[in-house]
Amino acid sequence: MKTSVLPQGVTLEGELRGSGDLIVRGALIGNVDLDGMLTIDAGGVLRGEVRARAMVVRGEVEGPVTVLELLRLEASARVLGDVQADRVSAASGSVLRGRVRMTGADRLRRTVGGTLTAPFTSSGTLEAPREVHAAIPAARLSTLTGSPEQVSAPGPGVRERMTEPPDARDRRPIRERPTDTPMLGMPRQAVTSRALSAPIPATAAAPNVVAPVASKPGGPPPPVVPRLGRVRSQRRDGST
Amino acid sequence: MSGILGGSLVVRGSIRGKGDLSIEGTFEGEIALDGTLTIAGSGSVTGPVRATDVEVQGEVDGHVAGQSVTLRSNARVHGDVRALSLTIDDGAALDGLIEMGDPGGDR
Repeated sequence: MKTSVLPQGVTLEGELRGSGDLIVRGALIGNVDLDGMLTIDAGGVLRGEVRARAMVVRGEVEGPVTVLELLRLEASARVLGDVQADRVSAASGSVLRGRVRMTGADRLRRTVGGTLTAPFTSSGTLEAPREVHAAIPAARLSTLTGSPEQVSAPGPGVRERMTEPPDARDRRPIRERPTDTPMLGMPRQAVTSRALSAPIPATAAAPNVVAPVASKPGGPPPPVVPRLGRVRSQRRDGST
Repeated sequence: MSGILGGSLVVRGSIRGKGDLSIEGTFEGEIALDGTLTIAGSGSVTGPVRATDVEVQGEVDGHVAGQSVTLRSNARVHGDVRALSLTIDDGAALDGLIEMGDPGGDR
């Protein structure tokens, strides 16, 4: 069967169905129902509800995608929308925003007896991109982004993870809290500013924290810089 | 770059843009192409068709317009044809008006 091609520079607005392979290099706006391989080439755009037997994406796709067999996202792929396929492969560099459901994974899960170690949740959703964000240590994230508003920018899913767990919060009014006990083993200043953006697991954060020297009342005097002292003593001797 | 809508495809909507396209399947809607449009022997188009060059081997139910329009021997056209230069092969079936050599006729 001949492969159909929607060439670059051509826009098809409407509905397309049938069998055979289709390569989209132009723009296809509308619903597609294809019993064959659907290829969205680099530079190609597909916007609409998509059903296909197999699909390869190198361009842009926007809309819910249902693939009976394999959905392959190559490095230049950008997909926005929910995706359902028997199998999904995504090359490094591809962008996918949406819920992913791998129907093949359900079958796998049944045969292996629920011992699947791949990044699936119980609902079969792939959450890898979000986990990557959440895995950045909270302290690093705050230095990277600067302000709490920016921390929540990556999306609603990230925002949920970045909020403080409810039981870690001291609910007493500030005045009633002990003054010198640091919260979670950290100086008060650091905790209150970071609590807005990220949870600090007590076990992970505590060993890394070094109390600032200046906060100790009656601490040691500022260190004497050796080089300055030498220069001054030479001048007192009159040798310079 | 040349495009094909294969014989097993059914498409409803509109096609516009720049490029060559060959329709071998069924298309319902409007086509406006800056390039060569070929409606193959197995192709069937319902709706107005406009391209720089149009070659009809199959069936068109609608107006056909182009700088050059060619109706091949198996062509069946129901609709008006407007072209700067028109070629009709022996055996082609046309049911409609013909307007030739009209430079203002872009539609």
